Amino acid sequence: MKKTLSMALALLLALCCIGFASAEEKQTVTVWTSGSQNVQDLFTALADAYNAQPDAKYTATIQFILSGTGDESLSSRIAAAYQTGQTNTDFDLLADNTSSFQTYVDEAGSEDLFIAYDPEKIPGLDNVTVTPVIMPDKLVPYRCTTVVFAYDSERIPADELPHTWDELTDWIAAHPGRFAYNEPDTGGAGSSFVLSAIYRFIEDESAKTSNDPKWVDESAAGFEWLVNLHPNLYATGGKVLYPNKNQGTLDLLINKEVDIIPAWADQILTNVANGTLPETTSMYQLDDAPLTGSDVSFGIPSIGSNPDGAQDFISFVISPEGQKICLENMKAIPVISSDLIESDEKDLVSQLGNYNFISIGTLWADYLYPIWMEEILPL
Amino acid sequence: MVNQKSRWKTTLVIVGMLAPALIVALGIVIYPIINTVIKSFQDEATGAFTLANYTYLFTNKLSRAHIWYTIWVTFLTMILAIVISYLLALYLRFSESKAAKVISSLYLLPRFIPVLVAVYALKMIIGDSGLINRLSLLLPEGSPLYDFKPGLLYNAKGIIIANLWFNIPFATMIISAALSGISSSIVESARDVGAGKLRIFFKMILPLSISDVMIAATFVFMSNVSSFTTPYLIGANHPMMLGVYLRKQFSSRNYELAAAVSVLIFLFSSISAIVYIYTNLKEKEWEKD
Repeated sequence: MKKTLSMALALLLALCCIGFASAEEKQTVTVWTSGSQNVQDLFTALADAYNAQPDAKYTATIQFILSGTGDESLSSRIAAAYQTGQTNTDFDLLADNTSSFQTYVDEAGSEDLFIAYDPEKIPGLDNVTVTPVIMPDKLVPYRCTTVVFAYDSERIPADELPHTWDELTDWIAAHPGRFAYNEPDTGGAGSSFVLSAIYRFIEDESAKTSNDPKWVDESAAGFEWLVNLHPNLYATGGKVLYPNKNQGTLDLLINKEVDIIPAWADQILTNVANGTLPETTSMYQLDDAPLTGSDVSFGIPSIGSNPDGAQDFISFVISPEGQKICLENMKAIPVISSDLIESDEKDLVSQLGNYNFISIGTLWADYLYPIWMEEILPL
Repeated sequence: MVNQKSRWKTTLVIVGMLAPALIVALGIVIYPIINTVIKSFQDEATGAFTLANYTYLFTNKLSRAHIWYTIWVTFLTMILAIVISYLLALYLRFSESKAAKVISSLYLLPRFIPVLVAVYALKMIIGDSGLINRLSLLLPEGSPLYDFKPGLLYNAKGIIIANLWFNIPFATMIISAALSGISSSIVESARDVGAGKLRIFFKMILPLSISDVMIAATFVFMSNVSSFTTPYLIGANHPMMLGVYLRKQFSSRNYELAAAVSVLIFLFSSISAIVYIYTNLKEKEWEKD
């Protein structure tokens, strides 16, 4: 009896060891990202699908930081870890707007913050049709996102719709209170509008991808335009209001308090899909200068501890399966040809590829936003 | 000798029992305060001593607007809350009507509703596309109130309305307690010798309850000067209450300026704390006589 018991216990112990051993085999890959709630939902779905693969070599975990609650500190944390010479952190993989990667590099003080990826380890890379404007050997785009003008086609007849910035200026003047953009520090739709308004006056195209403070001097024309726009924007209680967050302007469009807003295409599509915005909601860009968008990329920090796992996760996300999740979960614009994706929803985003790419690093936070805050907010 | 020793022992026991609370207070209250005060005098880059953060706070046109805005919103909230609460407390104390009984059992209810829930409920009702607006849309088109937009959110009006919702019950509770301490017999005897209602109020009720009114006022002031949730959710982006401004500076990583804003809020609260302590001491003196 005793013998049987001890045998059974020994067997159990052995089983446990095997069990632990096989659990140990799977290394974790930690993916860091920030954004609105929809980004978290997307990454939760991606990680779940990745981990559910029968042959998954790694376990993906997500570290998500909601925008406006300390996302500024993600770049600082990574920069701090980099500058103090740490090498074995869990910053295995970072996902952010390609335009934002300049901020990470600026803060860390070196492009060596990210390692070049190994094309051999990311099968499917050939399918990716988008090339990042900065650090093309280090960043792998996995979706595109863009700010658009959104309106209800039932409320604005096609012949009244403004198609250039000048027409937009006239339209806003003719329809006071029917246009709004959100406080640009609280959401990307507002900052995209402000940036597009400023940079359309700067003729030198290279300004759009430069963090040189000299360009700030050329922002005056854009700010003047924004100042003139101010009195005719959405107002409540007799005062012009810049709503907080992308959701703030979306709510105004949903409640029919305004007719046109700059908004993220994916947020419009999601709201149309769940019925909060009517089916007649349309999106478009102005012909002379579209609003800004960005490809959203993966970068592998050199201070991470699992570059192989990071590249494996990237190859999953850019695979047709991963792209389908991005498209259906977030209405994201895919980075691979839509012919490769099997989904009913791919037509939704087929027209959205036309956007302006502006990547100016810390120029926004250090110079342009403070000007907006001092000159326009108190008007 | 023996007596002294045991007294010393007692003291030791008392200190020993207070020590944990004291250590916690030192660690999570006193230390951060000292730290914040020091930080508010530091230069962002070098950490050297500087007055720049305060100079900025009091000379920058934006932050000056925020300070004035905070002061007048808080004072207006305090005055309105106290006047309304006093009237309500008087009514509850001296009215025998059924309505008074119902109100006295209901008036504390807002205190039990979480701030977030209450603010969102308020938004749904007084928002420009809220309940009031939806009801006005039922009116015939063209009538003066059709599509009526209250315009109460995202400016001081909304903040003050929400503040009153939270503070009136609280202030009423404190003032009611004071009024219930005034015995009906002295009011009746004053009335018997011919004193009018106003005279009774100004000569008896007000003097007997004024110290509690002051205490209620200081509490209302303190909780509103540093308020965050309400102005964050239904306040404008400019000007903003100092609590929201503090958060904005903090999230833009201007920690030194944020520290200076904290110290300023702390000073405002201290003023009302001084009023509170002074009122309490005066009461003690009065008891001595």
